[in-house]
Amino acid sequence: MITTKNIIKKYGDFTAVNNLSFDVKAGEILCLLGANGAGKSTTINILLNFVNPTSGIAEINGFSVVENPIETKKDLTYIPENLMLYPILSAMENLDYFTKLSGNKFNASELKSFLNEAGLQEEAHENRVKTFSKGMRQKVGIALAIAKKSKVLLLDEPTSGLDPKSSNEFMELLAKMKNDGVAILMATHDLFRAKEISTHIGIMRSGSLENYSNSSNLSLKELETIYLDIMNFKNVSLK
Amino acid sequence: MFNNNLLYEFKLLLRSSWLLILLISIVSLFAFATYNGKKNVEKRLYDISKMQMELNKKDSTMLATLTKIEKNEKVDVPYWQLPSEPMTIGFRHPRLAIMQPEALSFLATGQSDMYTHFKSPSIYGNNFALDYSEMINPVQLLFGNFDLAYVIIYILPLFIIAFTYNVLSKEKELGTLQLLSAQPISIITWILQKMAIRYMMFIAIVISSLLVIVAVFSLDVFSNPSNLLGLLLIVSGYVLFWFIVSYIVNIKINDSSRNALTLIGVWLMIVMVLPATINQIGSSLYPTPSRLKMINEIRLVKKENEKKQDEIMNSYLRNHPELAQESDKEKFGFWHKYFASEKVMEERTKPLLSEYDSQLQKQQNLISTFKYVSPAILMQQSLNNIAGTSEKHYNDYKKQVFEFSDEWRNYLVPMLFKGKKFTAKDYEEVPNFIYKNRIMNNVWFNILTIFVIGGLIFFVFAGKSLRTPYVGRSL
Repeated sequence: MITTKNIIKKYGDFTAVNNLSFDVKAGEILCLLGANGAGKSTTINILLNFVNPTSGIAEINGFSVVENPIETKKDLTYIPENLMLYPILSAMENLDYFTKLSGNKFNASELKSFLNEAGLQEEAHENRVKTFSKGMRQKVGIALAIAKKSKVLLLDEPTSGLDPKSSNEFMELLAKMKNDGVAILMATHDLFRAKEISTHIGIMRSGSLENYSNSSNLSLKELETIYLDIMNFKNVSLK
Repeated sequence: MFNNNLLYEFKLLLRSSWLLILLISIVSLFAFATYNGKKNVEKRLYDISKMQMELNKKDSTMLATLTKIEKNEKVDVPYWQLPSEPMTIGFRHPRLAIMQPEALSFLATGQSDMYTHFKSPSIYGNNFALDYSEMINPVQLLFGNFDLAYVIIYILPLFIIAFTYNVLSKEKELGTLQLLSAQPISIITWILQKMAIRYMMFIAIVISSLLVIVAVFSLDVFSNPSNLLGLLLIVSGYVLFWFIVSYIVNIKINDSSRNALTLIGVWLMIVMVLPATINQIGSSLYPTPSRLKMINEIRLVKKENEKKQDEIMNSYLRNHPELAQESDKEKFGFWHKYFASEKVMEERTKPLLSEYDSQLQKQQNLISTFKYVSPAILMQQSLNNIAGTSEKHYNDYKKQVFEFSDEWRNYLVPMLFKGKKFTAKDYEEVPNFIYKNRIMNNVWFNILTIFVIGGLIFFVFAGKSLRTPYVGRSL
């Protein structure tokens, strides 16, 4: 579903992504971990065709993101760290607008069911988004993914700033989507959530994928050790 | 995608009160400007009717005196004012040469505040030919008239700038551009559609407001649907031009404050700097000769002629033997000598007058040539043309008055030389001035030009971007 082969992204002399290769198949979640500037968001931006890679191949569903950007976005939903919607439109209207942009058309009850499925309480459906918390906006993003029947979900630090309850709810939704066969790539700083939700974990540093593991083969403690080791924080450990 | 964008753009603009603000502002401005324009036209009509009434009153008195003379009754009029003398009619009872306003004259004041709309070309002297301008308030001259043309040319672009300067950058600043760019759409097509939708909404407000306001103030405009259609089309073209400029700035710069600054800069350049520069170039390249100097020279020629009147008279009669045949040379008085010298006078002053007119014409031609540089000039010319208040209209009016003056003179001078008296019956046959709008309406060409300019700018500056589906750097 998501494939990157030897992706390099350079900004002048600075290498943001260095020879990155990975695959995320249907029903898998790859969590990219790394410090700020490690290249996680750039990788997602390349997959979204927001920036072009300097070299290498990036594909979604077998389509090159550079050559067929529109085709790749038909099956893809992106939820950034801070999902912004039109504040003076309601959740229903935002969902209707974005689903129609992606070529889908749903009636009001279908839209409501998507929002319900995403966990947004019924009474908020008709409220203007300007009154929404970040967690509620993220749920509209998930509803969009459900409505689009997205096969690929790209998440850029989606739980940062969310309260634990909202964060938990969000993780439950991701787990559900994973079980429905969605390929998910998530950039995050949260080792705990990454271990909990992912099928695979990649640790990036200075644009390179330094470690790629199957999460079921790692304990949280081991993950933490590897992470700190890669980040050169050898003498610091979580209690 | 278009219907979806149309629905939600409408909702967004309605909820953000933009449409209401636009509607109220445009209707108020149009109403105020139309009121001002109508006030100017009404003043013009009032002045004309006042002059017409005065003439009618004078004519009634003159006809009463004529009837008395024809009945050999005693009249209480000095002999040099007797209306039975053709020269008294020509000098004291000239006809009115009126330039009536057009149905859409209130649209653009144009040159109407600079020139007079009525003249009484007397048989004596040609001063009327020199003075067509009226005293106007210099402050008003500096700032222009707040008429519909002013609102359309100067203020509408500012509304367009405010309405469109951040169509794309606002999405970026709001954060919605990320989500939009992740959809299977071309952002360039999406923004083009948004601009097209805003253009349709804006033009709908402008045209409906214009039609309603114009209908409220003057139903006459519907009597000339071709002119009204021309007005609506040229306004649509001008508004489209500004939307295209804004679209280009949106996709090329994509930062709200920089967009606004750039668009204001373009506005300044197009509606202020370029027209002023072209005007300045015109007056520097073709300076208008001093009017004072010209009048002085004409006076000198007149004085010289007066000294040689007998000589001129003889020469005139040699050229017009038909006038000499029935006249007694001994009875030739002031008027005979005056008309004889008038021809010489005309020939000698012609180069002075034509130099003055030719310089003005060259200035106008230069501005016409450069009108394609600034759509504001093109608009001003088109609106003045529709309103019938352009420089060309006033020049042609002047020409028509000249022609009428000749007709007036040619009607009365033979009577003088043949010693014929003017009668009440002759009054019914005196030539009367009827103003004809003979200026070719070039508004259709200007409409085409403004759309072509807009199209060219679009393809030169934004054509390439149409082939690029995404605005990556905008994120």
